Amino acid sequence: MKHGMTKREKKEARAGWLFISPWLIGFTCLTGGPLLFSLYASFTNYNMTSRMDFIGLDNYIRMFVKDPVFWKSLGNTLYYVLLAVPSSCVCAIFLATLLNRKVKGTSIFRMLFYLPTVLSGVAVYQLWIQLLAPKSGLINSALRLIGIEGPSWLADPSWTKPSLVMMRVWALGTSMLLYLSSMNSVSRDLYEAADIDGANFLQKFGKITLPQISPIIFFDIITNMTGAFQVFQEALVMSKNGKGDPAGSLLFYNLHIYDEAFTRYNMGYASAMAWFLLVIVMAITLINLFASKYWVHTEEGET
Amino acid sequence: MSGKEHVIRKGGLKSRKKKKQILDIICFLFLAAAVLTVIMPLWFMISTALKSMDEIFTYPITWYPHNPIWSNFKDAWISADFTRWFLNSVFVAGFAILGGVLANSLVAYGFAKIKFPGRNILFTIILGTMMIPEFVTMIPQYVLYARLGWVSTYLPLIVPQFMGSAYFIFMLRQFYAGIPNSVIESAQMDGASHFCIWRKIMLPMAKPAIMTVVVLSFNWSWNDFLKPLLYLTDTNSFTLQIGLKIFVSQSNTQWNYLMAASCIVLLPIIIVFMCLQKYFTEGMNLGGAIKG
Amino acid sequence: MKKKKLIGLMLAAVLSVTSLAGCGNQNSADATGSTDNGGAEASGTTENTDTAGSTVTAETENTNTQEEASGERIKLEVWDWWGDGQYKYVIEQLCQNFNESQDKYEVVHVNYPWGDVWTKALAATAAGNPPDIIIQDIRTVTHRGQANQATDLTDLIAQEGEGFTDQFYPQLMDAMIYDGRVYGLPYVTDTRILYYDKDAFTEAGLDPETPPQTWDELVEYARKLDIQNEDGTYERLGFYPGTLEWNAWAFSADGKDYTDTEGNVTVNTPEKVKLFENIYTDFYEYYGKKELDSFSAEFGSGMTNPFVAGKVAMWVNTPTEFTKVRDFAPEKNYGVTLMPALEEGGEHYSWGGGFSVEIPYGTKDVQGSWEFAKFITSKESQVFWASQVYDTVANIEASQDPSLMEIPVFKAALEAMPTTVVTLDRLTAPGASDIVLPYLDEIILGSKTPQEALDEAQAQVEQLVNDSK
Repeated sequence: MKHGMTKREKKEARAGWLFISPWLIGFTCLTGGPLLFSLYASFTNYNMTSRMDFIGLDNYIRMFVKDPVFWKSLGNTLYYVLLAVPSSCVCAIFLATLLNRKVKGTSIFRMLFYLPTVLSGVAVYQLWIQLLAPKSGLINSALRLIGIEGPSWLADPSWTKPSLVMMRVWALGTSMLLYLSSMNSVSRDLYEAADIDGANFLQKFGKITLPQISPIIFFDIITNMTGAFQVFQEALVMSKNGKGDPAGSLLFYNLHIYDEAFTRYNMGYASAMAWFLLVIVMAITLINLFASKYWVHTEEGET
Repeated sequence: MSGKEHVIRKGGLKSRKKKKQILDIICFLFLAAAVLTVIMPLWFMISTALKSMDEIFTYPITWYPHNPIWSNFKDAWISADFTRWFLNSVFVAGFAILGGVLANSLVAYGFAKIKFPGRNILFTIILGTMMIPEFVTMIPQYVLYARLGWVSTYLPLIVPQFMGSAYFIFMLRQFYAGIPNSVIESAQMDGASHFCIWRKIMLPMAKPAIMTVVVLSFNWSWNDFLKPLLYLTDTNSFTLQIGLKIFVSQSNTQWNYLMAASCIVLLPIIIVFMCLQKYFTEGMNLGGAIKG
Repeated sequence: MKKKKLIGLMLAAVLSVTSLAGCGNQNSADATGSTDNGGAEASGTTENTDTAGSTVTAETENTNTQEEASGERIKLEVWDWWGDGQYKYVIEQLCQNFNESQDKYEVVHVNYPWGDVWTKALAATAAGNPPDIIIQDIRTVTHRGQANQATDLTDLIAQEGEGFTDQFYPQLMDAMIYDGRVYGLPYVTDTRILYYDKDAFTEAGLDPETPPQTWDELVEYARKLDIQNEDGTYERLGFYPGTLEWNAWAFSADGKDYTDTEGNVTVNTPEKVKLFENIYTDFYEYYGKKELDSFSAEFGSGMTNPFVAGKVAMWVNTPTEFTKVRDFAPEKNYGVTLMPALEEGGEHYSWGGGFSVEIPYGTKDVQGSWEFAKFITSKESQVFWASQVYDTVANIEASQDPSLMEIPVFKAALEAMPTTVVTLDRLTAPGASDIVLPYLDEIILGSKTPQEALDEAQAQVEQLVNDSK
C-alpha cells in the first residue's frame, strides 16, 4: 500500500480529488464545522445560549442509565424501521414494475403515484386523521365491507406505528421514481437475449431486472432506513399532544431529541443522542455495505 | 420447464401477445384500484378548497363541495403577495436544480469510477452526514451563516446546493456503478480525460438518473420550509412554503384558502414531472450509447 | 426588470459551464474549477437580486441610522404569529398606537408561523441577533431565564415603582421568575370552562339554568343527555372529556402542578386518582373506548366542531372557543359555567396556559423594547386585545373591565381565574408532564388502575427531581 504510487495512479488520485472537490469544499467550509461542533457539544451541557461546559460522558451516562424514555423511544423507532423499510421497498419495486409496462394511461398513473410525495404538510395529515377514524374513516369502512372490524388506529397504542407505516408506504413516490429510472437503464440487449431463450416474465424479472437494479435497491434500503430512523414530523403532528401519545407509542427517538433540544434547551444531551443514533445507523449501514458485496451487482465488483 | 419453453416456441408470437394483453389488463385494473387510494388526498384538498368555511365546519364531513366556490382560488392567491413569493421560489429552485445536477454528478463520478486514496473513508463520511438529524446542527449552522453575513439573503439556500448532497451523491454513484467499466477504459485508451468521459459518456448514459435528480431537487427545494424560515427575514423575499402558513393560525385556520393555495403551489411540481417523465421511462440503449 | 436580469445571469451561469463542452484537451482540473465558478457566479447573482429585492428595507435601515444619529426613531421588531384576520388587525393597531404615543421608537410586527417563530428566534438569539420583543410560551420562561435567552427585567421593573407587578394575575407573574429575577411580563392566559347546550337540557328535562356543579352531577346529567342510536352508537354524547389533555385534567383535580419550586412531587394525590377513576369508569368504560376514540378522531382534526354540530351536549373548552359557536351556529342556545368540582362543596379548579412578552437577550435597545412591553401589557391595550379576540388577558384590571362583561364567557372566565392553575415546565423536574402522560394514557386504555399508574408516575417524577438536582 505504502510503496509509492505509479505516475498513472497519482494522476488518477488527483482527478478523483478534483471531482469530489465541490463536496469537499462544502464540507470543510460549511457543513463539517457544525457537525463537529455538535459532536463536541455532546460532551458538554451546551444549551445554545449561555453555557457549554465540558462534562465528559455525563450525557451518555444519562442516556443509558437515567433517562426514563430513552430506551422506549429507541425501541419504538426500531419497530418502525423494521416495519417501514421492507414494506416500502417491496411495494415500490412492485409498483415500478407495473408502471414500467408500456400500457396506455401509465404516464397518468405514474404522475398520480408520485403525487403523495409532492403533497406535504397539513393537508396530508388532516386527510390521514380522517381516513383512519375508527368508525367513519374510509379504511375501516372498507374493512367492514369485507367483514373485518378494523382497529382504532391512531388511538390504539399497538396500531399507531402500523398507521404511520401505511402513510410512509403511501408516499413512496421517490423510491418508485428511482426504480423506474434504474429499470429503464437496464440494457434491452439482455432482455432480447432472454426472449430468444424463451424466458417468461418472472424469470426475466428475477434473473435480469433484480440484479441489474440491485445497486438502487441497496441505495433505497440504506436511505429509507436512514430516513425511517429519523421519523418524527408525523409523530409530532399525528399524536394528539405532539408528545408521542397514546401511551408513548409514537415517542420516536428524534421526537425525543427535538423535545430535549427545543423545549428544554438541552442541546448537549440532544447532540449526544443524535451521535449515538449515528453510530447505530452507521453500523447497520456498514454491515449492509459489507453484505452487499454478495448480492449487489456492480461492474467493478464493489459498491 | 423445458416443456413450457417448448410450448411457447411452438405457440409462436400470437399466444404470447395474447398473454401479454391479459397481463396488461390485470395490471391496469390493479393500478386503477391503487390509484384511487392515492388520489384521495388530492380530492380532499380540491374539495376543501372549493368549500365555504361554513361547509367545512358541517358534520358529517361532505365528501364533495355542495356549492363550489371557484373564486376561492383567486381570493387565496391575491390575499397576500403570492405572485412575488412564487417568483422567489422559482428563483431558488432554479439554482437547486442547476447545482444539484452539476455538483452531484461530478462528485458521484469521482466516487464511482476513479480510484484514489481515502475514497472509502470520505464516502463513509458522506453517508454519515445523512444520519445526523438536521435540527441538531441547525443552530451552529445558523451561527456560521450569520457570521458570514448570509442571513436574510438567499445564499444559505443556494450555495449548499452547489456543494453536493449526500443523498444524490450516493444515488448517482449507484447508477454509475451499473455502467460498464469497459466503456470508460476504452475511452481512456483513446486519450479521453475523466471530465470528457463524464460529459460525453456518463451524463448521457445516466440520463434517467439525472432527470430523477432534477425532479427530486426541484421538489425538495420547492417544498422546503425550515431553511427559508430560518434565513429569510424580509416578507418580500419569502418563498411559497412560508407564505402558505399565513392561512394557519392558532385558532381559526382558513382551510379553504389554505387548500386552494396549496393546490396552485402543487401545479409546477406536477408540470415538471409530466415534462420530464419520458426521460426516466424511455430507457437507454447502452449499446447505442457506446457506439455514438 | 429584475426578472430579466435574473434570467440573464442564470443563463450566463449555465453557459459558463456548458462552454466547456468542447472537451477535447480539457482535463478534469478545468472541469471542477469551472463548476465552482458556476457556483460562485450563481451566488453572486443572488446577492445582487437580494439587495434589489429588499431595497425598501435597506433604505429604511439607512434612514434609521441617520435618524438615530439625529435622535429620531429607532426601529424595533416584535415577533409573533398573529398573521391572520382579527389577530393581525389588533397587533398592528397596538403597534400603531404605540408609535403614535411617543416619537423615539417605531415598532414593526413581523409574523412567522405559530411554533416556528420560537425556533427562528432561538437561532437568532444564539447568533446574537435576536428580535427586539417576542411573544413566548408562558410554561418555559424560567428555562429561558436560566439559559440567558431572555433579558433580566428586574431592575427595569424596580424603576416603575412599587406595585407594578401587582397588575397581573399572581400565578402568571410567578411563572416569570427564575432565581428571584423576572424574565418577562405575562401577556394573555386562558382557562377552561364548561359549555352546555341549553336546548338539549330542556329537551332532556333538565333545568337549563342550573348546569352541573360536581362530577356526580356531571355524570348524572350526561346520562340524561345521551342519545343512543339503534345500532348502539351514540347520536349525541352528554359529555365528552377528550377536549382537555389528560395532564390538564390531572391539574384540575386539585389545582396542583406535578412539582413545585422546592421539588415536592404531587402526582399521585388522592384527588388526581379520584378524578381519573371518574373519567375512566364513567366515560371510557361506560361508552367503550372505541366509541370515544372515533369521536375524537372525527373531531380531532380541528376542522369540525362537535359542540357546534350538536353531537355533544357538554364539554370543557377555552373561553375563546365561543367564537366558533358564534360564527358557525349563531342560533345555538348555550350557557357556560365553571368546571365541575370533584366533591360537593369543593373548589372548581381549572387549568390554563398562556403567553409572555419577553425581550430576548442581546437585543439592541432594551429600554425601547421595555417601553413597548409595558405598553402592550397596560390596561388600555389589554382591554382592546380582549374586546377584539376574546383572550383572557393577564392584566387583572383589564380582564375585569365592565365593557367586556356583556360577553357571557368573559364573566365565567373571570370567575374561573382565581382557581385556575397555570402549570409550568419547572427546572426542578423538566419535562415532568411528558413523563406522566403515557401513564395517564394507560389509565384510559384500562391497562392500569389510576392508583397504580399514578404511583408509578410519582416514582418516575421523584427520580427526575433527584436527577435534576
